[in-house]
Amino acid sequence: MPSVRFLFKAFLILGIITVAGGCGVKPNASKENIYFEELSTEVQNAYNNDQSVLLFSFHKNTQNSEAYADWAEYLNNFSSNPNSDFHLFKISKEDKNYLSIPENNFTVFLKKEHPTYFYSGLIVEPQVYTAVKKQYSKENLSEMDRSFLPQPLCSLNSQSLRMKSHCSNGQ
Amino acid sequence: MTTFIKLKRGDNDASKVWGGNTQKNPPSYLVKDLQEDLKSAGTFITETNGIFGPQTEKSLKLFQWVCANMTHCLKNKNHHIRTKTANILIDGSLNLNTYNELLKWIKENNEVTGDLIRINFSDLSNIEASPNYKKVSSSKVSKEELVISKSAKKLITDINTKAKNLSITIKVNQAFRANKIKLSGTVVTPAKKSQHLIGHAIDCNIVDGGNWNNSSSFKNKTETEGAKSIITALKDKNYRWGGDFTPTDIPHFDLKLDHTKFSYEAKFFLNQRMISLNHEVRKENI
Repeated sequence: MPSVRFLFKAFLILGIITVAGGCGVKPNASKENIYFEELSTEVQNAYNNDQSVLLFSFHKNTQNSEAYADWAEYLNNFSSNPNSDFHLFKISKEDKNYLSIPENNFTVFLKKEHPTYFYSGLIVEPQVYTAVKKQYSKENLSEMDRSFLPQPLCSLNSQSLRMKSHCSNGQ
Repeated sequence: MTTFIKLKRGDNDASKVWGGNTQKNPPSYLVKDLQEDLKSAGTFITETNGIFGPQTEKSLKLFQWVCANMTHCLKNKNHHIRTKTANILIDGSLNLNTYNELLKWIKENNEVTGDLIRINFSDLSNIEASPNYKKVSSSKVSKEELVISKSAKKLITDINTKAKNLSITIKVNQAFRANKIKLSGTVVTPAKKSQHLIGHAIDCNIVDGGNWNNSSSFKNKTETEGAKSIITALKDKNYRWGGDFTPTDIPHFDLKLDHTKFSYEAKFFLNQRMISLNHEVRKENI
């Protein structure tokens, strides 16, 4: 008959194996947001609550440029517009590295069950924000609006964007 | 007996330092008097303290720059045309010419203002406000008007003429831009230097036969011939095109004023103050 000490050891080892095995498995995230589960909690919360999300990045060396001046102006105007329901986040270094985005200046627009848009460079035209906002709120887009929509992520050629892995899952 | 002393940086009423030296008798015109007069003229915007420091020096230099360069001021709060002051040294110290000019301004109740003008879009055959056009936040300006520095008026007329010749339309997003400090709602720090902040730049899209030439068009090299032609024509006139900048700023033309020069600093101060204090912005006909 096994001793109490032996039983205790057996349960302990089983427990350790279970926990260790679990570490290699990602949580039960849907395929839709397979890249998204690694992003910061507040970004995930906004996304999971069906909010429109805007992630942006800029290099500090651009701050004396005219492009930065225009980009900051239009982004701040968009952010402070009372009709804007977007949640804006400056992407963290960790998130940028995780997503394997090779650029310093970019914007990503996300909304659950909508196309993800990746804009390479600084957005210097306010119409870009208007076009994505209309698209995410299912408003009709004019020809002019359509000409300002950024490329959907899944149509981009870049292989270094880890977010692209998401495209094969149905987007 | 009191005398006029050329006041300069480092002078201090409390320490009895005037003209760079400790004086037994105070001059007829103290540092505090200078600060009060500059405040009335509109270039000294902090508390008077009798210390001739960098702020006083800059305020005095601004006043001297206005005297030498500006053909407008406010008289009793109304717009007034003036003659530029000849032979005034822009050095930030109180020479006799500056002193006499400052006394004249105080006597005539004059105040500095900027050189912004407003142009009604209806006066421009081929320039229109884009659907995203944001008017300057001043009750003196309507949403049908574009605001620009008087010195950059030719940029607008040249764009309009070229656009007319090429049968294209220019859709404006913004021209002069009020400087913003970081307030709630802003997510990034606004730029401290830009040609928009002095009224020397315009952000616009070139609409050619229904095609909006935007950043994507230029990135994909699908811009129209009309867009290429107007950019070339304006560059030939020495205006800058944002497509040549790093990083690129595609829908942008400007008449560059070097931001390391004092004239940029003066224009920035005057034009931003003009809007924040709701000064009259003169309407210009084309």
